Amino acid sequence: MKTLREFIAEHEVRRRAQACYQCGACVGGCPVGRWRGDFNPRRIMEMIMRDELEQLIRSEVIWLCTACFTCFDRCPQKIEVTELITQLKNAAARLGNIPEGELKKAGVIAKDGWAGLPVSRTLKQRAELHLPELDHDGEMAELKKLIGTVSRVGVLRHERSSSDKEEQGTD
Amino acid sequence: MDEWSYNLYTGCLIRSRFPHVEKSARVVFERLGVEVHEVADVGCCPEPVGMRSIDEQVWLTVAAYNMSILSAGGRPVMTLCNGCYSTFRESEHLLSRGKKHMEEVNRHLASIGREYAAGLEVEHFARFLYEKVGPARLKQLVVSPLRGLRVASHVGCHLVRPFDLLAFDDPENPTKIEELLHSVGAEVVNFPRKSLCCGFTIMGVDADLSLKMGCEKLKNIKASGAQAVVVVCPACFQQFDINQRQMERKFDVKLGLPVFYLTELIALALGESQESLGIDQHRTEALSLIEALGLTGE
Repeated sequence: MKTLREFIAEHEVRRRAQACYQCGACVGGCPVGRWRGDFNPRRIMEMIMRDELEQLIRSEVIWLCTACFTCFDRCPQKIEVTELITQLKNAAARLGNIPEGELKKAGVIAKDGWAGLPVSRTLKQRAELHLPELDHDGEMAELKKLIGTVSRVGVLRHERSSSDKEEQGTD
Repeated sequence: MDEWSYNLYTGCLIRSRFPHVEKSARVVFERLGVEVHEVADVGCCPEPVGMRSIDEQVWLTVAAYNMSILSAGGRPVMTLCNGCYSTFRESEHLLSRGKKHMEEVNRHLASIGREYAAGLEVEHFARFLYEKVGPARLKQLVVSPLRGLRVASHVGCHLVRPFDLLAFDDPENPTKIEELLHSVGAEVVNFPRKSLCCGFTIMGVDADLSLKMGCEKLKNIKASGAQAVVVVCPACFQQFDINQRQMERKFDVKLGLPVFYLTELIALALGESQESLGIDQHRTEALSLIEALGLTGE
């Protein structure tokens, strides 16, 4: 698990979680924790501190964070809980652990440059409301190139060569 | 009048799915004397939860790409969506404070002949209406006050959180948009668990839970006596308007709560007609409420 170690070290995930004293203010305010007992930001911070990272990034649970920032706003220790969970998701994504729905959404952005292009009904509605015509749909070449070049995640590198993909598997 | 001039960034959801939202925003800008400039070649901001969760470096780089284009003419950018606002504010913060981030992003941008220079000023339309126009001035411009309309305001997460960065309204009890609604003549009701997330962002992870979160919100709002919900984010709009029927079926409840974008109600109060705003484009029927109250514009 060298990749994960390196990634976590690079983003100082453990150091940034260290001030957590497990008060639970995060889970108290969490809109997801109300419904899913298995999503618990306090527990996630504990697991980071106990070095149970591999277990965390292999679970689906981290993806339930809505990134509402309530835990971060309420944390008495000013720990960036939301951002740390985001880093865990980034690490998981590199290992290919991405929920299907999220994979699909990101794939659309990589393919179209937008998270969804207008369908004909919307174009008709736009015309009825005298809104400006939309230009450049389906192009966005520069933006798409950027995503393909920058990303370390397979789904976003659809235009890269197969040798790049092999290389990505080992990084 | 102040001189207000912005580069307009509508974002994916509004341009592609909710033309009536874009229309109402443009109407409000025009009536308030806000000059908006169109900007070509921009793409998804990218949205601040999914893309950032999968690859933060891509999120940051594409945000910088968009912001480099949106800096055109040295004008600030006007966003119509909490998500776009969050992406641009958060990434501007990371880039302007972190030299390493900025160097890496610009190394990538250089490959397509672009560069981002820190300091883009980013505005959210609701914040603009509160801070630059203000409830008092807005009130003076009202020609058809929204008398008899009782609404609940759901501000959404990314206009108010994280507070340390955005410092707009109290995230635990946001009231500034309510002040705007008062100023155009609407009555505003309070409701329990007002500041909880609408649940939209986890639709791709756990659709049942996402709908349950949205449904609980709408149930609380309905129980508070509100006739409609007012939002300032197209993700919240999608969750409450488009997905409402699905929630009713799934959880066997009757909601029937019209959902308005803040700018739609303001445009009506400023005298715009419901026809020109395309209120009939909502998925959850909204027209009969404003017709019953005689709030269909001039």
